[in-house]
Amino acid sequence: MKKYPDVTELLKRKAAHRRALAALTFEEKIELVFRLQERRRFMKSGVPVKPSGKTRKAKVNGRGKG
Amino acid sequence: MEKTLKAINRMVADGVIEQYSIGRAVAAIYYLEPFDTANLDIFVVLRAADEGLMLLTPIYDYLSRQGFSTEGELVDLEGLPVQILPVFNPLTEEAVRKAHQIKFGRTVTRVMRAEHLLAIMLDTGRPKDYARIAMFLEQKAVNRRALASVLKRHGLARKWEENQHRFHP
Repeated sequence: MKKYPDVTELLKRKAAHRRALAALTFEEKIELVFRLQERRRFMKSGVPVKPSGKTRKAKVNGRGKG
Repeated sequence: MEKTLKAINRMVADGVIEQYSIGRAVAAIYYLEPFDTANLDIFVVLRAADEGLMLLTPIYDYLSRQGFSTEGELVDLEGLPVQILPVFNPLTEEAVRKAHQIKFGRTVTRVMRAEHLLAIMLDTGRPKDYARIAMFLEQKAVNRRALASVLKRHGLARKWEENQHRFHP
């Protein structure tokens, strides 16, 4: 049977981190919410990268760089 | 956000609204760890004379005059979209009237009590509401006796019992 790592300690630390966040002042929490919103906007701002037709063709033919 | 809260406090002082309280996600964040949320929900008790479909118009007019821009139902207060919701049943009205008075920076504001937040979440009953109820219970962020009392008073005790499996830690 496959042996999996014990993540109990990891989960305990995660729970402790959540408790620490919950204990912050309201002002500090709202500051974090703004930061989360910025992070969300940044992640959503990403444009999917599609290789151009030329590059794709070159790669298929084995003539692409790298 | 302090500027936002000052603007809302001014609405009370100027008689635009009778009372208000921060509700939903941002109020939950007061008790829990912070999580991402799209807007700040403010529940308001309107003055007795306000009624009908245009009941929020005086609020939006007032905020426009104060220089805040509105987009649909949201008001942009200091970069934070604010949704103003009139109290719509006895539970939300009680939640506003019995809200905690707290300080944000140097500004006094009002946040719904945890037991009211949970009762409203239970009443709304979306998956994310149940998930948040679970967070409150897991973090022991609610007084169970006060919660039982609110649930009983607003006819939600049975719904609570029936949905225990959704949010019991």
